[in-house]
Amino acid sequence: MDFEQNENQTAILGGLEQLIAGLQVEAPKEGVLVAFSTRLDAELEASGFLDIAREAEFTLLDSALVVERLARLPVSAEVAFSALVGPLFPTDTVQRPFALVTANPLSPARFLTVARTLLVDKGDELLVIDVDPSQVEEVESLFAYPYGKLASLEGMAVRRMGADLATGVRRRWRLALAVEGSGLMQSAIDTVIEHVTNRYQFNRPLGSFQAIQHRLATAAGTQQSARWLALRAAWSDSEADCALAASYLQDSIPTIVYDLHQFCGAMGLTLEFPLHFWTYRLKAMLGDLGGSSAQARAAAIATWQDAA
Amino acid sequence: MTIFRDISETRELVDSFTRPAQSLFPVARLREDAAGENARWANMVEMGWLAIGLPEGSGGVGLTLLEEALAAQTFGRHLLSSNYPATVLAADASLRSGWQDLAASLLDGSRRAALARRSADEGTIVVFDAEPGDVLVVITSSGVDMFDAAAIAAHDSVHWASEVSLAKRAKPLLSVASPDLAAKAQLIVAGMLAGIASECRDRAVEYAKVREQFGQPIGAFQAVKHHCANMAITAHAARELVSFAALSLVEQAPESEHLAMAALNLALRAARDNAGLNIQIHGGMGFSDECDAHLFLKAARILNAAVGGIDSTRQSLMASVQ
Amino acid sequence: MPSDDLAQFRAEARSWLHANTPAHSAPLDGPDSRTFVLDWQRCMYEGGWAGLTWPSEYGGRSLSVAQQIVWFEEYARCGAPSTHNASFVGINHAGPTIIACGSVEQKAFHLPKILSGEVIWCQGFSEPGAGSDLASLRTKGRIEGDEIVIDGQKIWSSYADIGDYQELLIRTDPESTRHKGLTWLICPMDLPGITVRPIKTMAGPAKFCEVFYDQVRVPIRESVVGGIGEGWKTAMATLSFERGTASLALQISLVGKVEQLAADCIDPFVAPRLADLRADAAALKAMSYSFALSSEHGTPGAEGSLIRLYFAELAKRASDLAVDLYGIGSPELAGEHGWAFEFLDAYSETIAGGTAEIQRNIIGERVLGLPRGKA
Repeated sequence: MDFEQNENQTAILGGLEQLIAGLQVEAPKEGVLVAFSTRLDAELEASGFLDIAREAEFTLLDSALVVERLARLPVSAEVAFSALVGPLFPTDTVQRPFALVTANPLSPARFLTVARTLLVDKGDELLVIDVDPSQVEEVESLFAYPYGKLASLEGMAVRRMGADLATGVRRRWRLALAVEGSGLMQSAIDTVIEHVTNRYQFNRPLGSFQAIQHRLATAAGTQQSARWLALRAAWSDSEADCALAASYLQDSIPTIVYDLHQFCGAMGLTLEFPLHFWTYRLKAMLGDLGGSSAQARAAAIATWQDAA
Repeated sequence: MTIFRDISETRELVDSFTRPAQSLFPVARLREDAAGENARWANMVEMGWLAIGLPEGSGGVGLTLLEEALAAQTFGRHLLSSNYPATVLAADASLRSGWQDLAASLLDGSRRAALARRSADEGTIVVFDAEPGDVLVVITSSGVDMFDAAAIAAHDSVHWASEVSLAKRAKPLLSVASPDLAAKAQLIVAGMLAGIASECRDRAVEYAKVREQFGQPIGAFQAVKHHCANMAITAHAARELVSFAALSLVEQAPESEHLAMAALNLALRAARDNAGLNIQIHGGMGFSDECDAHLFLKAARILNAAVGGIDSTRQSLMASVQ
Repeated sequence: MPSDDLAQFRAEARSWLHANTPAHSAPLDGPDSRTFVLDWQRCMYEGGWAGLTWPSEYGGRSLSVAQQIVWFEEYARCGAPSTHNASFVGINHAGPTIIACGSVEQKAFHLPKILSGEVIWCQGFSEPGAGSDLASLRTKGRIEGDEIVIDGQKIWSSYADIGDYQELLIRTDPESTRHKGLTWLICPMDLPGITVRPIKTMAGPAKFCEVFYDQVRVPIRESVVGGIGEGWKTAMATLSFERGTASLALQISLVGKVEQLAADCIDPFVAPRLADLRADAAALKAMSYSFALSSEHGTPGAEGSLIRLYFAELAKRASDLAVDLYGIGSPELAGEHGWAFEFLDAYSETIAGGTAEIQRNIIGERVLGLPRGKA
């Protein structure tokens, strides 16, 4: 495996950095729960960064690096599904932003309040629904993403696609979780490291206490593991790797979120402190696709079913 | 009587009743003189430790499951083998079934029992710490099944598990289905595991106080201190739940069967976690054969296998939801 | 207490609670929460159920621990309002401190008002620079004749915006450091110079507050409890008679919630975690009952830290699992008292009142006797 960025990746990520800097993306100053940036979403759509996986000179891995970088921002945009799931569909057959649900089309979904397409994974088939925004109800959520649900499917175009596409969407959904999750973890950890470096109690920085150091070290290890599993999955695009990366991510979330909030003390409980902009999004991912056990099972089947 | 009572006095009573275990069964014996373990079994008989919860008329001490569960914690600390719960259960099951002779031979030490688990197809049986002549005790979800085993080989390990063939679908010698016998089995094993968890905590803490590195005892370092604190929490929870469950059963309080299974589940995790942390705190020493730490881990593992593993407790706990 | 009498007591408690538990749930912050909490406290007082843990000479009922357990079991069963609301500090902290260290006049003035639901108390201990290291606090009190003039700032003062009085810990000896030279005093919240700013927490409610003191004057005689310069000792006074029953309602309620999750569980992937959680909840019950019962007639052991921490971490695991079980957007998660709120609120349990890391230091040093580290 080559761990160095290649030229394409350096160029793409450099361009992305410029776009981000130009937009001056910042954490919301007021204490809000949901931090979705319509402006960022629109700029990214216009810029073409979300479509690079469709282009011959770029790969799914390159696209994953873009998703990961954007996940480190304190505000969200509908990036992961557009960049990693969208390319499964021929150009112009579906419109971004996307929302994804399992089984029931009327379940609440991330991004449904801004989505144009709802994908419903029914296992052996995929429903592709053109969303009529007037039918979307906002769902109150404490988990940082905008959530919505459909009141009914009345009047909406619903295309039924086969098992292959359903499998593909599920696989890329797992990849999206893993990649975005690893970026969220990184920013969360960076925020905490800054806090424990500057926060003093008992005449020393919090970060000089061993219990905190050791658990932060563990968190950093977890994040790195999540990252490399996600990037490998983006490189191979295999069932097993994508399921494994998603399983690892979901499995790691409770402990890492607990520890990171712990180290920020009471400050970290307020909305004014930015940690929740990443940790809440991680929490929102926890139950997707049946949680880490479901992903682990899928990874096991994909890896060993032939051998069994 | 009520479950809302302080059992400190009962605890003290049982502690003094079982205190001789310190000199009769020091943990170091398993390292220094493992071969002598069989001979030490006679102490169990002499001290009445196999009959704590049995009625006086049947040769027992006449105490209750509460005292038995508390005693089990001491026996767990001293790494008594799984022959102990096996023999206690076998004697009880025999008495309940009217098999007086078998009960008597188990209580006088002329026969011993060993825990066992049947394979799914009932063709083999895995036996734990078993010697030729032992009667086998399988803890089931409803009580206890006993088998006479053929062809058990002798062993020279401290703890061991081995597979023995059973005639296909062989019928047990004795089968007792009784919720309170099932609960007794769970609690005695849980008690031992809680004892293992406590002893591991104590040994880790002791080591952390005396072992110095970087100019101070390692227990002064927060990472080590917090590991010890975690062991303390875990051991305390296990000890208290085993005791509370036993008290609830004795008082016939509602949900006492649930508490017994919960105690077994918790104690299995507590022993496993604390045994691992005890090794960790002991550093390189902890990994060596000269240190006793690994013995606790192995004992916890044997007990875990003998009760069908932690997952079987999870299945029971979810099945019993009202 | 003979079990027949205990059964009788249980029946009385159950019947009263059934008849009087408010039908609607408690508002979580602000003036509505003040009204709700005072109404409930008054209702319990009039029914003879206030101050169960207080000595009878101060208006309490001096119930035995067994009776308190039974009361809190019935309390949780009826879904009565959480005891960790705006009445908590008055009933479980400020009140008992005044009982332990207050003057005759202070006891006569303040204690009845707390019990009867006339006043709300808040706590002014933590500061922006003094969280876990409380002894480094800097809010100062300058003694001027028979008054103390207070300047400084407190933070994380729950319900300070709706409180009538605050138990306030300040530094009255300017030369002193750490635990020395502190004074515990009663500070009325309507004094000129006090500004309160509620802080919105990640769970939603704005119940924690920043409090600013600008030349606030309090009379020494009415305000100082336990003596000038004895503030640390006064603040610790409640620890010697805390019987671990103050949190029993919350603990029993958590056990009940875990059982509810288990009853609702149809997800095979979540089931094994829930099984372990049931066992953990049973252990919490066992530990808290045992602690309370064994300390009834003597000084409680140091296991209180252990149990408190265990509860906090169990609350997090339970709410974490609830979110996974029910799923985002489900009715069980929604609303002011839904599981999503519980999940987020649980993060404060391992931070407030002594962080989990500090608790582990305390367990390591005081329960296990491990040495303190060299600086």
